[in-house]
Amino acid sequence: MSTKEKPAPALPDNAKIVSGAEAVILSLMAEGTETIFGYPGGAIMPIYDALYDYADQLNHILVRHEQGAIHAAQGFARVTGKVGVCFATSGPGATNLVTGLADAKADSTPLVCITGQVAAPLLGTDAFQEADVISITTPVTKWNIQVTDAADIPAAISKAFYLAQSGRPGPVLLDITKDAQFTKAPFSYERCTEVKHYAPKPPLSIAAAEQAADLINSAKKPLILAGQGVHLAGAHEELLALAEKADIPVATTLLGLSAIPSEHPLNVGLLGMHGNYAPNVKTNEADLIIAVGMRFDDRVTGRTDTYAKQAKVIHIDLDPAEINKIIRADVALVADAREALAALSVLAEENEHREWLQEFQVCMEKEYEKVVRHDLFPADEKMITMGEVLRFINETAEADSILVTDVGQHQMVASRYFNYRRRNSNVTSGGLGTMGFALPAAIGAKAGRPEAQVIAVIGDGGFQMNIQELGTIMQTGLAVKVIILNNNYLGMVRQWQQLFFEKRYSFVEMENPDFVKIAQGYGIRARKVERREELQAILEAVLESPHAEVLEVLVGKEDNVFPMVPTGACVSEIRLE
Amino acid sequence: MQESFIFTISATADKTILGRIVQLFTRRNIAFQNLIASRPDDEANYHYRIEAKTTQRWAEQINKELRRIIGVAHAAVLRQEEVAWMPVALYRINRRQLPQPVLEHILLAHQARLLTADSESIVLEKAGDAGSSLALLEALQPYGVQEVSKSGAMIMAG
Ligand SMILES: Cc1ncc(C[n+]2csc(CCOP(=O)(O)OP(=O)(O)O)c2C)c(N)n1
Ligand SMILES: [Mg+2]
Repeated sequence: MSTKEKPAPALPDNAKIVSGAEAVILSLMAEGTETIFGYPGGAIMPIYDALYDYADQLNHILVRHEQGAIHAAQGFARVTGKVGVCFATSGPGATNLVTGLADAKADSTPLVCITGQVAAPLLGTDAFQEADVISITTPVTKWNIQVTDAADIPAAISKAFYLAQSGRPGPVLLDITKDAQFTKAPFSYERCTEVKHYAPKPPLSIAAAEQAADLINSAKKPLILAGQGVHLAGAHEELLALAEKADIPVATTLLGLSAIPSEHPLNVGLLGMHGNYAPNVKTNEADLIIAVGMRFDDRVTGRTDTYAKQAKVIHIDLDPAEINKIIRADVALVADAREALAALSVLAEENEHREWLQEFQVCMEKEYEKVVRHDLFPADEKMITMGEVLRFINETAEADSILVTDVGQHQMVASRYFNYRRRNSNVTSGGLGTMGFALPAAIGAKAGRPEAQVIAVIGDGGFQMNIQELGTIMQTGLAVKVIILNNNYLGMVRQWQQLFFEKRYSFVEMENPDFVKIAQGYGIRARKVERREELQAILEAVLESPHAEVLEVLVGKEDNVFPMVPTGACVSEIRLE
Repeated sequence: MQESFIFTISATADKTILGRIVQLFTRRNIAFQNLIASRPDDEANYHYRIEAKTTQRWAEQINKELRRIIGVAHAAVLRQEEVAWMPVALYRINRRQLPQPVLEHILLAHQARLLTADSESIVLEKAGDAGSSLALLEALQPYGVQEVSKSGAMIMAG
């Protein structure tokens, strides 16, 4: 149906006539949006013009690159549980969002991205800054739509917000043509509460929950694998209730970190390739695996044909497409993790698994002797280790601090050693493993939770992938703590070349700039530590300062991250050296 | 083991859905044997019928991911023997070379139908599997077949 044939909508009393651009702003405000990360350009100018009038009500953070905008929106969403919002112009602005969309899709992060598009009559003409954004972003969005009519904007935005945050969350993109932004149309806003054929919250099957509870009650060696779904569902208390009642050890995936405090006695550590020794080994000894909101990523499972073959598997996931995708479930609970865990914690009997838990302890001690001790307390003659920096961070960090990590060795070390005390205190790029994520994500996290201490741990490689976002820190004054663990290498790749490519170091050594000077050029306080004796005091000063700080720490060039499950190996073949 | 599977999807009239459907196959390096997109009447859902060779595992996974697409009302995956399916073939023949009695005989023997005719050529239509359309082609060959066109299978999945 063409727009001309559409019957004029019945105008509610409160409706006013506004431009499509203003409708965008009003719709965002109706959704409770307070912060937008963005970057203007030709095709989104009407929206920026409308924003000018609302600058006192909406906090727009001007980034330095659209990739920075979307990662910042991701960081914001991850720590607040709200939808992250970002703006970009057409063509290159929109294509610069693609990595962040893919990242948010992989990590189920709710985002609403709004891109400007050339005017509808120019679509398909290869107009200036025209790109087929809908086609380009289809595989990396949960939903996307092109809007060419101003009257459709409020409904499209409310649908976008609903889809982004309901069910399994994900990124959503609206591509709005410039003429739709200019045209005036009546505005009234109704929040979307359902979408045809879309069932975001499948009801929990009581029969399946009872079956699962039977397995839990009869298990001698149960193990919970907690993933990002615990955070997304806000199922932290229910997770603890089940684990404590039935005395079940809890291991987390990379994105599940902080679902249970690091120091909780039932927390047995990090799963996966560079996770802890105990949960990996014990995965292949457990008689019951209870997977909650995790999708058996290959970085977690290693070789699947030898993965937990001896165990029964309960898989709790909201997304039916995750069930039996990688690992067969004996009992599947397709439901919200919070609801499922609440039911299970009622149905499960009080229990004790002392001997089983003791076995984890033995493994942990082994890992401590072989790895942890050397990471945290290296010999005096060694250069500073990444682990050591984390030890000092733990000593100084505030109780509710948020750790943002980039991708590489430092990410694994930080994830292994950071003392997570607060839920949702871990922000990292998990599924996509996007270098360059941490600096903008930390900015977004700080914008979302200004009262919290936000510490970004970044490698010398990843820092340079979005280094321009120092400009955003400068302009906003967001007091992010940036700690660069500089080994002058693309360390993780170097480690693999060392271990699996006969030490043929192919293009991994970095000649780095003076990071301190660069940060100072942006007006940010910056320091560099090379000697162990200075580390603690300087780190304290950095973390206690009320300002944004950049701290470069020179660490051992060829240190490796262990333990490690080599690719193609099974989890119980995890190597400690 | 690779087998032929039939995917049937019905979805709202959202322009982006076909792209989303196709991408679930192409990202796994699976080619289509047959793809039909239709909208039976203007207000109804779109129907997509896809035939593709893949493994049981991927067929099931793709089916679940099809259901996950916003706007998909229904998706199912079936084996060939579970569906009614029928390709249609059209044949253009030089009119002058095909005497009327022969034409009548062929139409009857092969259960074909005369679709259009002009002074130059006639077009026959035949619904049936590959074997029967080949048999008709062979019967027509001596009279000068100008063009053959075959549809993919029309599928009724119920
Ligand atoms: C955008 C992107 N490009 C390439 C990679 C591959 N990669 C993974 S880790 C890594 C090295 C990271 O180096 P650095 O940031 O210095 O961290 P380190 O491993 O040294 O701690 C690379 C290149 C990636 N994950 N992301
Ligand atoms: Mg490095």
